[in-house]
Amino acid sequence: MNARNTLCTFAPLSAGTFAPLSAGTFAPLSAGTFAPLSARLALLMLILAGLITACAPPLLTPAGPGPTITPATRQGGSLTVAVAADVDGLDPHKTVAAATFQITRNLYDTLVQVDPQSRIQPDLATSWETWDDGLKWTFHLRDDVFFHNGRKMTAADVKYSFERILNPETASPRAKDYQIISAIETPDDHTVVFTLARPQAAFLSNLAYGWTAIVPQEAADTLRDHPVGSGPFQFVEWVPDSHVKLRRFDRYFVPNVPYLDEVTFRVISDPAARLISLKTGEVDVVPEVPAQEIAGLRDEPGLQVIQQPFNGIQLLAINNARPPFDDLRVRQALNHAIDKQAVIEGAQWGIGVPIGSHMPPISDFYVDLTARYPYDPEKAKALLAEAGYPDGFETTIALPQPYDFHIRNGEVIADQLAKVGIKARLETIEWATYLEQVYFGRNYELTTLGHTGRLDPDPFLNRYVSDSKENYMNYHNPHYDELVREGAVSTDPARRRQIYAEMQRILADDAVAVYLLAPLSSVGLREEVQGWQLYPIDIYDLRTVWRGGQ
Amino acid sequence: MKAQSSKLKAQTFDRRGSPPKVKRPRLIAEGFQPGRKHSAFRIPHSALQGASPLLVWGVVIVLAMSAVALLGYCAAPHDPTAMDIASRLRPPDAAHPLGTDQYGRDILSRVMGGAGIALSVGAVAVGIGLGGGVVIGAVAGFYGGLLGEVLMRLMDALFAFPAILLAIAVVGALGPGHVNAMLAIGVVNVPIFARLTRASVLAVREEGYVEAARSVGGTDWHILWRHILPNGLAPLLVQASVSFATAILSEASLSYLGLGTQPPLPSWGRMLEEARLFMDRGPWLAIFPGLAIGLTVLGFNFLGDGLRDHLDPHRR
Repeated sequence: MNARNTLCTFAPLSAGTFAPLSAGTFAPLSAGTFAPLSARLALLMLILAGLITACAPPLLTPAGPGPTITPATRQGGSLTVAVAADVDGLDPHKTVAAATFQITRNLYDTLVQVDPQSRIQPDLATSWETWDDGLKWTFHLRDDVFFHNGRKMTAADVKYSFERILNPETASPRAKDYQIISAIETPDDHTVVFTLARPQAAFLSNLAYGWTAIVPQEAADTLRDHPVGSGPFQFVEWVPDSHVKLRRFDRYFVPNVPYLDEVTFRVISDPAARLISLKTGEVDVVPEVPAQEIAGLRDEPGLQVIQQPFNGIQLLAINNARPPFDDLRVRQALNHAIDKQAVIEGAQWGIGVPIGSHMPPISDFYVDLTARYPYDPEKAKALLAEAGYPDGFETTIALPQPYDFHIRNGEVIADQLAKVGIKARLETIEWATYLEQVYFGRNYELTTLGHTGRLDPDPFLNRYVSDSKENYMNYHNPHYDELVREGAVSTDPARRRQIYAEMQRILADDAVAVYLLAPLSSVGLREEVQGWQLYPIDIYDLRTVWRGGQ
Repeated sequence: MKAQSSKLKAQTFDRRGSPPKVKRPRLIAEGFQPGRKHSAFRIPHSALQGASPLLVWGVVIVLAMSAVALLGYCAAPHDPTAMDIASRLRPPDAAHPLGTDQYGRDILSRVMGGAGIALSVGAVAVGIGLGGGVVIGAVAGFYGGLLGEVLMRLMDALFAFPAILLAIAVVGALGPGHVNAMLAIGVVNVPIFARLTRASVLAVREEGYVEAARSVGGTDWHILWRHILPNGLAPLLVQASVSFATAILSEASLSYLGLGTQPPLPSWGRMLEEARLFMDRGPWLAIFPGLAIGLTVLGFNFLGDGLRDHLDPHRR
């Protein structure tokens, strides 16, 4: 399958096909951005992108056999996208800023890419194979790829790019994810062979993230301000705190793509101002619409909302080491006492789907455990009585400020817990302090938080390993630890599926947390904007977007 | 007006004489009966007679808000924290005269509950400021010397911070919550009262009657308490009233920032913050707590200004 076909596979469907799902409805394929990320948090986001989610990547869209594509009618026009935060430079190897990677997909390509259904697809590499028990990976490259400076891309550029990521002088914040690469060879101009130090199940999907972009060596020193890649758009200008402007790259390797002539990413940090700009037509797309605004946006003439499940979850984390929560019955009582649908309704305005374990339904590895703890306050009271708390107890829920969606989850949960006799005091804690005291300090009883998924389930589930720094729930289970170790190196897809299913079941059985919901991503667009896709990683991909009739 | 004032004065200083038969506005304060007990801090019973409309309105609003706060504790129409998602964001109607918020909570009950929190924060914060400030200011003014210098330079350092910034710093150290907010705002108020007290003490420290009191063997404590501080009472009262208004505003600001009153307790500032998200669909979410803050702050400012005019001997 070549890349052109690939693109067609997830080519935009007509607007009608994407019609917004009604609140609470769950489209099985897909996800998107959630919650507004306030600009003042951009810095923290840099530090934590990918670890904790409070911010969010966009995901997918239903793909499938679309109507016949007639690219010629889609050509032309410009588009303005409102983004929450400014980029942190445009050198993909030197940042972890989500705001940068949201944009760089349009400037750079990677060896492989992920489609809206979370499947790995060819990009610069047309095909690949792994051999020698997963220690060797061979990638066959396209031979029709040009950089924006006009030079043809070869295997040497791939080798250079990965060496640049791994070079300590580059100080790439993602370098540690690729330390496993022990050698890179280029037998010819269209072939790259990676040798790994040990097998790694997530290796292929790790090549789909924007931070492994392939860059030309001659432009490497100035990528931050003058990015040069092989992507569908080339750089025009970056005016800090104002906008990034791109224009169509005519030699992009997919014919007739992209459709748009020009794209502007305008920085508007205030969520309310973003929506107003959309309503007034000043911008065409707002990729992250807060849950409480969606109903209003749908009623607005001339606008549409696309909504997809987000690759992430929200939960009520429990400090498993702290009494009374060290008692399984108390944790189970919490699970029975919380009505997840009511939390979704009350705190998330119906925008979300209930979950039963630490995995969003959009994941390939998802196991439906939502029936494990049905809402049953009587059972919760019985379990509490059995554990020695017939009259309930008092506790505190730590809420991360200023993430209003987590705070709202906490408020609704406190209201529900009161009904089984658990008196939960709420304490909002400013994010930096929260990270220090709650997340890394583990000094809390209950807290509401979210986690963003990666493409591979391992980074998502390995936080529960006994000695993980991110095991803020203080969960200890040697059997679970063993499963994590096995899952990370296993190259047998069937076995991995088994392992991750069992891990989800263990987390649910041990009631390690109350797994609340998987949020939906919502994108607000002008009616005439077509083809916007949501992906399981945080990118705004403009290749598939065009302007329809007004 | 002048004639009335002079009569007032006469009445003030001649308690045994019969009250002058003069037409004067009827005041709430008229319920005050002249006390028999001789206390240095007793306000003469007629202190509020002839009060300006400003003062009258201040007293009326403050008393009304206090009544609302009391009712909020014992007679709120609904539980201010009870959620009812089905009736969220309802505009004002018979069941919910001020509408409901994003969780279907009754805004009237929350505004009433917020009054209790606002007034208690104001009272405790002013209490702390007054208590700490008067002690420090009196000591610094009365004894002077190195101790006084050190104390007042400390106060200057505190005073140099913008009030809300200092309050945020204190709450940051203590952790969020309305009790800590009270403490923080109280700390902010200490230097204000300390300066005021010290100035009053300095002004009369060398007066003849102080010397007289000392010459008959009056202790420092006695002289301070009975002879010096009563002279500074009027500006302290005025400042207390103004500080009360500021404290309410500060609590609202802290709560707006998430550092003050914690959910689900109703706080006007927090209600405003939450209302921000729903301004277009539920303006009543913001209007009523906003009005409550405005009215209360106005009331205390009226009270302060009115008191200042009223207690100022030069304006009689």
